[in-house]
Amino acid sequence: MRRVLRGIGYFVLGLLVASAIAELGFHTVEATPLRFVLPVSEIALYGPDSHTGYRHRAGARGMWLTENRADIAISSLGLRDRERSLVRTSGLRVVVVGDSLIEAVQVPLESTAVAIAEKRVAARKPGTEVINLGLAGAGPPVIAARLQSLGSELQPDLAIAVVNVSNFGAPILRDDSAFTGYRASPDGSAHLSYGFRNGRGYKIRTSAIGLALYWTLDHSALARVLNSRKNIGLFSEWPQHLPQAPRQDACTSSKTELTSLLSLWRDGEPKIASTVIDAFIRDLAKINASSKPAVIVMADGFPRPCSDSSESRNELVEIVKRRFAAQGLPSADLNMLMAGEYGTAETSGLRGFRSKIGRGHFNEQGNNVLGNVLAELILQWAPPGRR
Amino acid sequence: MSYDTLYFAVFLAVVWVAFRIFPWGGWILLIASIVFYSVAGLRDSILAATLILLNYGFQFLIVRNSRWLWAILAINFGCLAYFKYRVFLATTAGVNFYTGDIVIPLGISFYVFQLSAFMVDIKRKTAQPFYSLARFSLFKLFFGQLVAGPIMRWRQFGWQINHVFEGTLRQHRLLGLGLGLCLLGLTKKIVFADSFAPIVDDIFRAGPASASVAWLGAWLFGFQIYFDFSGYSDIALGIAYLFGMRLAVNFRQPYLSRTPQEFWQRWHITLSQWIRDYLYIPLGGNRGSRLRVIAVLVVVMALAGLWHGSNWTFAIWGMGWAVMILLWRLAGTHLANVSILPWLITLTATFLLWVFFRAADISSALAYIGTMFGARPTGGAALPADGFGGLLIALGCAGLIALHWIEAQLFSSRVVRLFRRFDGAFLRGVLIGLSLWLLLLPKASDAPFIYFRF
Repeated sequence: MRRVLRGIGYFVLGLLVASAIAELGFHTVEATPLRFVLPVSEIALYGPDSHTGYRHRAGARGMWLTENRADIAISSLGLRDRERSLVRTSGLRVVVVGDSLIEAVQVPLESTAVAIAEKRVAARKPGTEVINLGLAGAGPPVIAARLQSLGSELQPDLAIAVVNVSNFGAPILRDDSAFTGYRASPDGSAHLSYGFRNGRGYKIRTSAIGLALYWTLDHSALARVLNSRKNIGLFSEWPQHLPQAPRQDACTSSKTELTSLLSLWRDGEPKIASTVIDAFIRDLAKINASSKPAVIVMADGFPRPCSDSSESRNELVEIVKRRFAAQGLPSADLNMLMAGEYGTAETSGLRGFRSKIGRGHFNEQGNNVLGNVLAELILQWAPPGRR
Repeated sequence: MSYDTLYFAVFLAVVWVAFRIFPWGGWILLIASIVFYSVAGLRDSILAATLILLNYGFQFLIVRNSRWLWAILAINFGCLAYFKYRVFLATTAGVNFYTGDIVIPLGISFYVFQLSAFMVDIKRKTAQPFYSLARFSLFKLFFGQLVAGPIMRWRQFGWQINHVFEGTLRQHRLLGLGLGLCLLGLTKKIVFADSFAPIVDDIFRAGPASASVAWLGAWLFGFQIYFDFSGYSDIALGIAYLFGMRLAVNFRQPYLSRTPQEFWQRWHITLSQWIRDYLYIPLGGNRGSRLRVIAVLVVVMALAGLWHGSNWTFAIWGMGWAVMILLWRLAGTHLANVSILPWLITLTATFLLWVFFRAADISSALAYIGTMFGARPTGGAALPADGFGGLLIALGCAGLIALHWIEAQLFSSRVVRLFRRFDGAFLRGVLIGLSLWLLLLPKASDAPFIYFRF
């Protein structure tokens, strides 16, 4: 028995020594240019937030590995951006809030659309700041909540909300257990709801245990490896022999999408999704009505224009614009602006990396095109009197 | 199932525990091998089962009348030709029967070669038939080497299978050594091969923007395929050691070769030996007129190339090696003692020929090689700009050869004796711990073992 216990003890000691060697190995690689080639642990970017449920963790630094490698550093304000001050300068200050397309962790900071927009606008209006409030997975309720909270703290002159018009039907927008959602009130309207604050996960993450956990994630490569593995699943490499969904050509799926989007934006069906749209527009309008900042909506997610559905697409775009305009919110068709800037409606080349061009997030070229579009919009809508 | 996954590690652990606890080691390994292969899918499983049953039956026919050998070889290679080469053969013949991509049954190139070698050895009376279907099945299906070799002969592996079923296989403190080989293989695959894969893909897909990028792409691909394949082979050896068995070593640091002939004594050794024993020598080998010797060498190496894939680039790769070997026979003796020159020439030729192996077609390969020697660049893949200077990249590339030399030291008998001497709970904990951390890393790229595709 003693021999067995001794053997187990030595074995556990061996595991600990292995862990120490692995930790040292990862730190060595992460401290050198080898981090762009060899395996490293992926940065743990997110932490709890009382307004949106989650946000970037201030001071987090490391490598982003999914789709493309990029060095990421989160600022002291908790932004995927360079260091900023809450204190305003006299120059123009713009915030851009949206999802992972704006966050753009797949490319270096200087290659993100927001950084490119800032550079372009600052060339014409020196002192301009364009601040990245993008957050992966941010749907309309998170966008609204983020603008109300962090967006307001930054006291911008202009706020650009990039929102996907096809997102509003998703049931997750009405679920506030993990992050901000729109829940129905007794009068039938929807309001921002923060049910996640009562959840066990949120309470743990904002407690001392959570602080310890995040401290460990910041300092231990092995903790980050375990975190990444937890996110993808222990046996995620198991071969999947899933039946392939029948392929639709891009225009057929575009028509199908248009039909359901028109049903939502024009006819208000399903009603539950339509109340979310009303709530989102109302919340943005409230910020806009306070006249600081002016809010512009960039609507993303319109189906690609095809020859036999272009009328329906134009109708949808007009309906969306009218609904925002009815509450004093200017809006723009992001997809068409990007196609115009890129020179063709076939913009799939702006997404994806390496062998996966055409799928995924904007690559450097995609960010460049989006940055130019943002810059033009900012120059067009910048309040007069701001340099 | 891929060796570099957590679920395989769990599978291996369960099989090993069962193997150690229960007395029916052979049956446990056989069932485990069937389960392992069945994950590949029904079609692959039925094909493998059919070929095993047919070959099992034919071994007895061959014992009675050696002419039956031709029938079973026709069946084995007919299946290989159909499942792997039908599009290639039809296209070459100018007939468009088949279109679309083929999904090659898992490991077919390996187990067809292993089955066929066994049948020939039966005829040559250098192997004895397996009377037990279970033993014969394990000889073919052992999950440690089924998918990508090494290609085992009866004289190396047959007696071990018999001992496993009889429970008389002695373990000789091989556990630490086995775990060490598994860790080495995982390191090669996960740390190096998978890391180089995206860079190599970029360079070959987009085309190199300069000569230096072209050389970098060829260099990294050469090491990617080496780390990938030798890593798999190390894991295969390690798995076998865990069960007290010994597989043939398949790689001996081939990039330290000083001649083209030596390269083929160090690269995919079991395939080289198979080609030598079952193709080259039966076709005449070094005997006969000079023209005949050249023709045999070119044909055999072209077939060796084609074994790797159904594309003329692989045949050209093989024939390129034939040319290298012939040139060395003519002029190599003059260089033999000129310092490191033989090594440099062999190394350069190796990496030039890898371009054919990796390129999509012959014209891309030729354009790529042209770029390597200063012709107009074929594409836009440039050197990485993220903190890497040219010097750092050159140092990194040189470091790979240094790693190769270090690996040669690791495979010495001194290191093996050290492993066996210190084999115990602590060492096993260290090796298992390091392996687990490598397996826990989410995969950066969707890169299966390259030789799984053959």
